[in-house]
Amino acid sequence: MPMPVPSPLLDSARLDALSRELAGFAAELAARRSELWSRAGELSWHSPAARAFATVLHELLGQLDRAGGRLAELSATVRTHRQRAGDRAAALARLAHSGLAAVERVVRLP
Amino acid sequence: MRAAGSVSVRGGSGSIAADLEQLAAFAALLDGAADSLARMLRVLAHCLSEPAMVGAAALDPVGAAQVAALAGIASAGAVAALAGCQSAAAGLRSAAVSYRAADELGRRLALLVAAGLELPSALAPPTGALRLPAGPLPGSVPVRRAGPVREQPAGWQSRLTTDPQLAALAVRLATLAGTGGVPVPGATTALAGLLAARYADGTPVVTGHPLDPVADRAGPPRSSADLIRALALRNAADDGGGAVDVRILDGPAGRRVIVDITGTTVWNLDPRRRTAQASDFGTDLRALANRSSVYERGVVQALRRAGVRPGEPIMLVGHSLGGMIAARLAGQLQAGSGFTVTHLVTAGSPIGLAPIPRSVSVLALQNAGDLVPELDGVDNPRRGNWITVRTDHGEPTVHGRHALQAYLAGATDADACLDPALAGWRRSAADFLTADQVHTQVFQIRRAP
Repeated sequence: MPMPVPSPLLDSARLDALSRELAGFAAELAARRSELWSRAGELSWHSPAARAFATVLHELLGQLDRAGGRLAELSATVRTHRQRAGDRAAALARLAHSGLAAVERVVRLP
Repeated sequence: MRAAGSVSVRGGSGSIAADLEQLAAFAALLDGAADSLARMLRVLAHCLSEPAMVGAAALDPVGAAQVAALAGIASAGAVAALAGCQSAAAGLRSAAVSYRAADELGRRLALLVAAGLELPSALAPPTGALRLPAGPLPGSVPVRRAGPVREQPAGWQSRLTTDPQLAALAVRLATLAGTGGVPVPGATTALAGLLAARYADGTPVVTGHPLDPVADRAGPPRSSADLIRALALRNAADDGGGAVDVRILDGPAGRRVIVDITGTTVWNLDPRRRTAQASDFGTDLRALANRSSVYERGVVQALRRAGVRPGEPIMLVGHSLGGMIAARLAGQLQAGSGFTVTHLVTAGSPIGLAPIPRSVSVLALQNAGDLVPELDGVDNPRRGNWITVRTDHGEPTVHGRHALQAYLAGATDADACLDPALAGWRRSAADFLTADQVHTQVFQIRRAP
């Protein structure tokens, strides 16, 4: 595993925090959806309007489900992006380090 | 019946039952979800422009593009879900409000059904109150209260007479019911006309009586309260129905005439039950339908017999049916009869559709909670010559709100009112209210078959 390399372009901590925040939202939406689902089953409402509302609610629960899933996916993508950016920064650091070493050798030639 | 704090609603198509508290709680849950989505959207909106994301994009442009694409998709989905939550919550709240309104309407309709069944008996004066022993007219004696204290009013009467909009609602719903649910302007009068056709009208028989010393002892009127007081006096002494005063006033401005027309005395809801009393329910219907009646024609005969001269200014004063008759006469007498009506005072009368000429100055008293002025289903016109005064007196029963005693108190309020319109009316009626002498003749109008 490559060692984390400090880079002026990469704020890994902030990207990690953002990924966790998005994952938290995804979990929050899942909880909201779950509560709506269970409480909808307890509703004492019987009428043509209630039946129409049930259809609307079904669609809405689907939207919440999809929104939560996309957030979870986004959270994971941000995490991957942070990882790849970190890898790239480490590669650049190594390249810079080896470049500097070559320059140093040239400079030290008698 | 549900536990306290919740409301059950029944009625409408498809058997509706709803726990409105549950609906409200569910709407709050949807609000919570919408709140989460809104916070999430704020984060998504800013995440791509964050310095950390910009820096990482330089290192991993492909990954940054993937994040941007996914953030866009997630935002679009969140916006749709947010709109769905808000819309569903609003829909639930709207349904709850509608159900509460329907529930209230249901309660009101129940009241109206009760009212419809009991209204005629409720409008009749309570036994013993304001009635006098049988005796010949004029028989004017001071109004007295006799008999037992009135029973506690039924709940529906109290609700009906203390809810300022319920009386009007009752009439409008009854009219809608009569037209099969189709709102038709003037439907009340049309319905009244259909019902009135089942009642025989007949020919007026007018009986004159000597001058009434009791009424004259009170002296000429000085206020609108005095006008109502005289009408109440005649009403209290009217045992045979259809009693009318013709009061000749003499004063600095010359002769003036005031005609007091009393209200309904017979509630014969069955048209087969004929009565000689001109002031019966059939005449009510004819007046409401804006049709000529035996009572109206009898008043014209009474004016002739009292010696009212052509061109002499006449003020017509009526309560309930008397006011409807007066309002019709205000239009009819102007049309070539030789009589000149200049003023009209009504108390608790539905005259909003009466064709009253603009030359007649109208003062219409309407007491809050009185059903009778609402029977035409329309508000009184707002015109320069027409003042409608809303008062608030009487016990909360159908009869209590319609009684002349309540209107007497209301007229006293109107006299004390400094409103410019009322002041103008008092000025216009000054010649009737500043006379030196009054001579009252009493007539009884009955129906010959």
